[in-house]
Amino acid sequence: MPKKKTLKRISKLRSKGQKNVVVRKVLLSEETLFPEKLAKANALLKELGEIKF
Amino acid sequence: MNNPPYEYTEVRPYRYIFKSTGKRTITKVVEFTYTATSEVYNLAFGDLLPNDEIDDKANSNNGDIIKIFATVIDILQDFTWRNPSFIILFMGSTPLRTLLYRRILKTYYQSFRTQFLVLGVIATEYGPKEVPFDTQSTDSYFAFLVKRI
Repeated sequence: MPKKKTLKRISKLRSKGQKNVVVRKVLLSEETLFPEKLAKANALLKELGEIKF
Repeated sequence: MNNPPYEYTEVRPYRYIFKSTGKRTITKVVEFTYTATSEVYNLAFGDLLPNDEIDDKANSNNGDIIKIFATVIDILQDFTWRNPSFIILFMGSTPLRTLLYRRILKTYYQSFRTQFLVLGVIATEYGPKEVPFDTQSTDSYFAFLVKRI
């Protein structure tokens, strides 16, 4: 059974008219879904240092 | 950026989904993740598989790549419009994917440059370095950084 917070979020999305959107629990996870990419990004940013546009 | 995007939903802060309806229906996930560097967010993008795993290396070959990237660009615009100070980093999960990102940036650059500053990251003998993105450059960019003007 999804947590109360999860159900509330799904209910909110559906109330916005998105009735066909099936929101799977994994999508509501607070953890990143791309941990490998985040690790790569952090490693690159560490090497780059301050970013100058 | 004149191609119509798919409709998308922000399912939780900084995480969006949309359905690619080409040959098959595939749920795509776009996520902006806070990095260890202040104000820099990593843009990641992949397929949500039926077993709830994420595949960011798949070449789904669904026949709608232009529409998919139009949607990702639309999401990027929405996200940076709401968070104009954020810097977005993105890189391909494979060299081929990075090359594809470069081609897309090149294709849309004339329109993109009116809204964003774009840097490419290249490898040098001293390590990675960010340089202004140049559509004519022969440099091998392996990551990109964008920021709202």
